[in-house]
Amino acid sequence: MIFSFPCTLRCEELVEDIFNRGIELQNKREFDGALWELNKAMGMVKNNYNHHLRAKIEEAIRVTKGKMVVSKYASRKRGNRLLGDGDELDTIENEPFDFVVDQVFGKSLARKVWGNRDELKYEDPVGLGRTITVLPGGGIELSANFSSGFSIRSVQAASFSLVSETELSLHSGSYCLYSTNSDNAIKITSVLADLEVSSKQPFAMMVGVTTNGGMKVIGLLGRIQLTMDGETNEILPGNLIFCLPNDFSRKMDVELNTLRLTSKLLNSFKEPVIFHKKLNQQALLQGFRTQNRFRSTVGDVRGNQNFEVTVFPEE
Amino acid sequence: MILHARLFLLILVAHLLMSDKSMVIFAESPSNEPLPFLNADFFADSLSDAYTVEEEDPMGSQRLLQVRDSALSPSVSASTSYNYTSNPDKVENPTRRDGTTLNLSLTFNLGLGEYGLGDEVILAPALSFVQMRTFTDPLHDFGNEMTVYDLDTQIASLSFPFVLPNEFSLILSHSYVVPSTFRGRKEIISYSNTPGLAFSKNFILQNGDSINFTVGTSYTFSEGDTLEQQINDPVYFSFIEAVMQQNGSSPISDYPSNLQDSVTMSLSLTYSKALSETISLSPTLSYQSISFTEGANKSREDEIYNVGISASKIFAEWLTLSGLVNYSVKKTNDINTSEFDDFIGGITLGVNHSF
Repeated sequence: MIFSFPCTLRCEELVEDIFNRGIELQNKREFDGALWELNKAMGMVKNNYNHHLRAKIEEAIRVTKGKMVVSKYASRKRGNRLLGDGDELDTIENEPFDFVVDQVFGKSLARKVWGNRDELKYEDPVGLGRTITVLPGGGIELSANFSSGFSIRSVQAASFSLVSETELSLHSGSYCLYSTNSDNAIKITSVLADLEVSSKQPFAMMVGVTTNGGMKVIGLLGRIQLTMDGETNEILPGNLIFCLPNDFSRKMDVELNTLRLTSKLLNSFKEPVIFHKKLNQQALLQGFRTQNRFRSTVGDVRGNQNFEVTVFPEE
Repeated sequence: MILHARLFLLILVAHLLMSDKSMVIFAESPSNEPLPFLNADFFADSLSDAYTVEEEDPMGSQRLLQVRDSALSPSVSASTSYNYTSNPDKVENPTRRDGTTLNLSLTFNLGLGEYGLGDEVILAPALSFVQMRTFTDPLHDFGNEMTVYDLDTQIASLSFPFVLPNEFSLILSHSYVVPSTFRGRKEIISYSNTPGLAFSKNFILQNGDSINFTVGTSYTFSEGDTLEQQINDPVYFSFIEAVMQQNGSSPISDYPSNLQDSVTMSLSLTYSKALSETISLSPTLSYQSISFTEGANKSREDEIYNVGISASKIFAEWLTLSGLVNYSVKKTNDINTSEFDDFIGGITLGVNHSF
């Protein structure tokens, strides 16, 4: 009791100081630092719903993230212009085989850094820094050369950037990521969420960018650690979790058997995913452990917090 | 005294009303605290009218499930069945026809987890204990004559089903069966240990129906009464022994305690049709060949042919009603054993609970 009052007062000062520092950095356009400070402040008031700064911190985080995206986009545009001579992009002959197109159908485009590729084909190189756009009705599977065993799939309308060997930026669409390696770590960003994914064993997961700019993540194989804003969640095969603007959603279980039968990410390509046998096994294991099947499916997130659940009618 | 009691009641009622009111106020008071996560009952009532046409998600349809956390999966079930039999004595030329039986059973199952082996195989071992009581001729159509067939049966079994790719499965099992009498003094009739191996294939048809084909084999190690123990009269047994020895046989070697030791081969074909989400129909054909290996039964071979159909209706997750009709024929190469045919029909009501 003797120590609690001064401590509370000190924490109060600290939160305000950190918040102000975050705002200051945001004004200086140092968004990474600003986000770091603001998240720290948010962490301190996380369980204090009545804190007078809470709403302001939440708003500042949202604004900073938005500004960060715009800034990243603008800087990349500037960066591209600086390549070669003035506005010239590097020639596609110089494009390295950081990723290789393993499977493709429909039409997918590669933009930025090197010359435009308007229709990616089997065994085309895709260098880091590229932005890939998958057009409606199309699909592409890329495998990494710098880390054998890591692949990414996308179908239908999707757009993503291969930022670095350990970072993907997902702008829209749905993806299946998998790695046959141990000790994986990758950063996945969307408009409103920065997610660190790690797994000590081979893993497979699906990620979808939600309408609000967050992400929907479904574990397919392995124990996957997801870290966002300092909070970590582990997902197992069949677990679904949303990365909401400020937090993870609750973890849910979805039926793997239905998923593997209805997923275009898994079924649209000529060759099945390398882990399809293991996925079937996981679906069966889940079947053994299932206590209830609900007449409802998980949908999108359009707002800040609530995700959609669709109830389907009885036959 | 009455006044005090009335006063007490008045205070009590007033207190209850006040506390009720305060509860209502508490429930109605809006909370300004934002929810840290979505409500636990988010798919309960409010979603029943939230049906919308879903856009196609490239990730696939994400149907919500409730999955058990624990590796162990205990469950109990109880059932009662009432059956008609056209041949209660199971003999070739029955003197008694149209009998009935009443069975009561209690089962405890314990799933011991599910384990992935390699990329494609799953092992799901399970333990099971069954206590069963059979009342023969419960309506006493034949007086008390049939009560000798009344018995208790206890079964303990352990199974190791391996779920293989392409709808195949291999099941290793062991069961321990103890039938005993419960009328008068409880006497154990025999013990038997039966290790078994079964291999099955499921064919899923396009209309959702399935056909299961199973082939299996097992060996029964039995332990029952010898002839001497059955007769339980030294003088009479000596007489029988002398008569048998004159005919060149011996009660000790012909009627050992493991007289029922046998190898069983079985084949079965089951068609499963779901008529609705709660009603299913299963016609079955099966064949069993039992080759006895000890004593007087050596070289005896029994064959049982069976054709039947069962239907079940699930009323609730915990309540099932099923009915069956079955016709079976038993053939044997042993002149001392009866061949017979039997028609059985009955209903079973079962309740179960999974923890």
